[in-house]
Amino acid sequence: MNKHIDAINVDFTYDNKKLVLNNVSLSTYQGESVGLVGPNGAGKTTLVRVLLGILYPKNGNIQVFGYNPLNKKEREKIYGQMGYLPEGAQVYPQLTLKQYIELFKALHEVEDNSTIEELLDMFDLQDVFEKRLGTFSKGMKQKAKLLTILIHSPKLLIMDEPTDGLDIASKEETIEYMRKLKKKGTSMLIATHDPYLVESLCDRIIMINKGEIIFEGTTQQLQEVAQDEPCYVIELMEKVKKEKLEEILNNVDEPQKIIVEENSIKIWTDDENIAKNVYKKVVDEGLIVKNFDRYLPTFSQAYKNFLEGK
Amino acid sequence: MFKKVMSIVKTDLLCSKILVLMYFFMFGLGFSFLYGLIARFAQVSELSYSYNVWLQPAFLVGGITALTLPFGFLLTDKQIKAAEMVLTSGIKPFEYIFSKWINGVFCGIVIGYTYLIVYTLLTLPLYAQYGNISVWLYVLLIDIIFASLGVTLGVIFTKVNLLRKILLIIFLMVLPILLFVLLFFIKNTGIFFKFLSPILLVYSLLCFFLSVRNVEIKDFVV
Repeated sequence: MNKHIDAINVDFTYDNKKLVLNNVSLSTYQGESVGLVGPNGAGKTTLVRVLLGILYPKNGNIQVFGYNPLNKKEREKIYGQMGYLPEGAQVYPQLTLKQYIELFKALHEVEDNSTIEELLDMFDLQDVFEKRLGTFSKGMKQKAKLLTILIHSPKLLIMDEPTDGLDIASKEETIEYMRKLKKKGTSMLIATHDPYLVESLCDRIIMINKGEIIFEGTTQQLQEVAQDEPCYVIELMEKVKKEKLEEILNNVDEPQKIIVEENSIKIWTDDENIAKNVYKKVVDEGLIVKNFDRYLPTFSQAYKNFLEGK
Repeated sequence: MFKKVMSIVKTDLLCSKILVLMYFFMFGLGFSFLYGLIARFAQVSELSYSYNVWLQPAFLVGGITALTLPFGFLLTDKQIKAAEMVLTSGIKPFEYIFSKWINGVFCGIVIGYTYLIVYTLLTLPLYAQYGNISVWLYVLLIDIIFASLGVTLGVIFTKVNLLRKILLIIFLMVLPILLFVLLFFIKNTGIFFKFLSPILLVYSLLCFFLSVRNVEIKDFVV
């Protein structure tokens, strides 16, 4: 797979005193979407700007499509193939959507209107095509901005909070469209606080805190890592009296933390065999098990737990 | 490049159409009617009708427009982060700034020339000699000078480091002095345009090129 972004040992400082980015290395590959997550002030936007060559790092090497974004001539080759959505960018309120699109059409030298029409349909913006952007809601403005970074079918998308202000349906459609782009080979780097976007679109996440990468992997890996001790859950088909379940589990020898509810049993243990033993005991008692699996916290919980642990 | 630059010029014009129309009606039409009608009907000496006095506003209204628009566009774009989006779409920072300069010159010319046309139409039967071609060229010259200074001021304001701040202070001191000199000499338009305008033109273009020489995208990022 082709590497689209390759950053190695990047340091950045605004004032030569405190490092805002400290030894950051990351890569994104063709057709891959990477979520950049972290608390406010962690350095996500700064990292994005450094990768784009807007800000100059103190140390480190950055390559985007094999070009150096810090070199002015090479940067032009990068910008022609990518779409960038800055966080909190505003639209020109006096322009109509049509005029706004025309500006970016000219800037990206787009001649063909088919992608634009597809995007207008997807974002449900056909009816407001001739209306002023100043009259748009926050979500509609966000759609307009997203549209302008997608009109030239970029190979790389760098987005800072792309789903900010979008309603659930629009978010779904946007994610679906981005999945299609991924299949076509577009790679994405998405700085976001939206757990839904991360879970449903990102192949991999990079967690950054105080300018350092503290985690890199899939969302599931984060969910696993964020648990102090592995937890297994046995879901029962029917509700069973809590007392009965407790009675069955009284005979389990190994000391472990077990939480019993009417239709589920959660077992915290490092040893998977212990959980399997409990499962066997429950089945032997004639109870019908709906599901037996490793229990993972939600992404949001895992994110919070992981940060607190750090 | 031309298409990209013109698309930004068009966008800025559309965004500032109310301001431009206000300038147009107030400065372009309003002033020219006011001064034109006074010149035509008031009982004043013929000496006072010379364009040294009555055409002065053509230079000033064009100049003010050419100075304020590019300056305003640059600062507004930075504030609303539109510059960040536009500059990462592939246009070079110089082309972006140049589009603001073109806008300043264009709007300055439109408003300055509107003044001249209306004024000349109102007073031509009486004072045909003032329809001198040089006046039209000087309005263009003034607009170029002021648009260049407007862009320089805009670029300096968007920059953040100490050196730029010092330059800003120097620039802010130089500009009022220049305006003072301009107003002093404008009473004798001949001297002003023969000697001072080339100096101002060179100075403003020098300011323009120096200010955009090392301009970076980060200068337009909040």
